[in-house]
Amino acid sequence: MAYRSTLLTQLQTDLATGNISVSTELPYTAGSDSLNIKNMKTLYLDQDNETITQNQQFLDNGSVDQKETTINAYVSVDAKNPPADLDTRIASIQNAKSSVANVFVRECETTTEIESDILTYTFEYKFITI
Amino acid sequence: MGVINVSGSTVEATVVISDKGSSYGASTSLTLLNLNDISLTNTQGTFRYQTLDSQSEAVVTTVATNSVALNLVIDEAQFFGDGVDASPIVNKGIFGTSNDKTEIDFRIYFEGTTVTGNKYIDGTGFITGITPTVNPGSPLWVTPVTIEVNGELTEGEVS
Repeated sequence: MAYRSTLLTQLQTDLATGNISVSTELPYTAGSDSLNIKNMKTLYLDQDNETITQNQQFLDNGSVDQKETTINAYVSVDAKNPPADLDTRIASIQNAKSSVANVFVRECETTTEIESDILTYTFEYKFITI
Repeated sequence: MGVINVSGSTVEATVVISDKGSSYGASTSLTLLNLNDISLTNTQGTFRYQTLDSQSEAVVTTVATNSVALNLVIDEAQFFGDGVDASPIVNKGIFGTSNDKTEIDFRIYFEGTTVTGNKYIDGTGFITGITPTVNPGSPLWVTPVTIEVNGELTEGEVS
């Protein structure tokens, strides 16, 4: 939960003004729609997903492990009439990755999907630490 | 007989470096930690010559060039030494021993150090080729280490 908490704090600061806000709720599905579809222009941050792999293997059967944490975030907007500050807010959401300290990889991959008239941004934050 | 599998807990490939002439005593040796790989090289020198009665060159061997190459993730205490021990190699560590050009004994255990009868090769030489490297995408210091062998390699068994 640590990275989600850090990201959430940063996003709440960065998105305090403007047309996109951030929710503390998880992006669960309410009824037939996920929350980001139901409440457009609201960013939802998912739980941490962690994978532990071996960064270094040694001949004495030892190893140095690394932990890769990915967190997805979702926000949907009206594709026909997107907010005027959308690009700025997207950049802020991406830059929130910098708030996580003590990792040697911090990345944010953004993908978009249009379904009907709804444009959904999915942000995948990735953090790796030894 | 059979292949040498080093993946078991008592048969790990191991490198011990020791103060020269100290017989690999525990207080005068370092068992190198965090080894990624080990390469032992025993290259025979050759001299080729041609004779009028043959369509192919003949060859004789001359002196061999022997060396040990390995890569490891740096352990701070082993690399820089503890700075206080009476043993030069424990005191100076891998870097200090290389920097001071101090001759060492080394032993490459092919199947660990504990099982009687398992093989090792040992010799004497100088540590060289240290190239510590680190980068943001791989944030652990790693370095190759070469031991340039001074003289013969010797085969032995754990007793």
